[in-house]
Amino acid sequence: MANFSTSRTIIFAVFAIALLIVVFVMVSNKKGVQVVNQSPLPISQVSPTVANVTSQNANKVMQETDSAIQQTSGQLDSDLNSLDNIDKTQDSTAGL
Amino acid sequence: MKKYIVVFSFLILMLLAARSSFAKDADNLTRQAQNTINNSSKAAVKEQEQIIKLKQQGDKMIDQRIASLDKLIARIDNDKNLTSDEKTTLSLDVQNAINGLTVLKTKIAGDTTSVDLKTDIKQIVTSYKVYEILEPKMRILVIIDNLQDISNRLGPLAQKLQIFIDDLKGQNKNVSDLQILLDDINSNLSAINTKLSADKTAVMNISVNTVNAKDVFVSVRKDLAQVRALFAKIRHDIALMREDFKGVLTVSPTK
Repeated sequence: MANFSTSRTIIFAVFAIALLIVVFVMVSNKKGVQVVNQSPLPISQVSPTVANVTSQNANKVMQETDSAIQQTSGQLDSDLNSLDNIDKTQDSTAGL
Repeated sequence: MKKYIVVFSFLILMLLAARSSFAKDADNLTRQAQNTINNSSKAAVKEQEQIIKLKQQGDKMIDQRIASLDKLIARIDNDKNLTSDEKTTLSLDVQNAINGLTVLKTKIAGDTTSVDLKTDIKQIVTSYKVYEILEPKMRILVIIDNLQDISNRLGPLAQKLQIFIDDLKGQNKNVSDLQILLDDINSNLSAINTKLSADKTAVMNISVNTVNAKDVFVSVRKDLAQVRALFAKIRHDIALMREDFKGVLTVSPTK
């Protein structure tokens, strides 16, 4: 019976400590938000959202352009090689 | 009586002489006939040998050409950029040549004289000019179509880059270097399109009867080398633009 009572006390203590931690964390977060709200950074000092998106998009477009040319260049080299290696003398009528 | 015996003997001698002469003539005629038969037989054998040789030559020439054209069709079919319509159009001439050569092969197999065979073998070359005209023509058209395709894809991408530059300009960013590079890209694209368009028309007009086909091919080949260099220039411009974009986006607006 005594053991049961001790267990109950320990469980209660654990819950109490956990509750205290949760309350502490919530209070801390609330204070952090308040700090940001109290002194917002000027927009000009933050990296411009539009510029960031533009940079990503521009990079994507340039990457697409570069890849497209690169891919075609490889095929072009192969095709030009095949073109240059056609043995036109096989169509000579001499001796026929 | 003695007189009769002399006359009779003379006649006998005459007959014997004539017989001998006739026999010689007959021998000669027989020999001549035999020679003629022998010669005809030799000529027939020679003709047959030549027919076999010519048929083998014709088969080899046709098989070689069909193999080359099959490779060309595979190249067209496996292309990643060409549209289905472009592939069909390009393959049509090649397939027609394969069909024609196949018919010619059947005709050669049925030819019975060396004269017919020689005529048909010449046709393998003169009617199709696979290596002199058809294959170079089709390979160049495939190359041009591919390059036009990539150029057409780059056009809208350049327009997008212009929008980005305009956006940055609206944010008072210094985009003069970016604009110079993009203008260069657009100028190169324009030059590429002009060259490819003119070259495509020139090459499409070439047929087996075109006299100056070789000159056209040489000229177009030079243009293709230039187009390749222009694309390399565009890549270079793009690389520079990437750096410029980074720089412009990290610098504060110019006042």
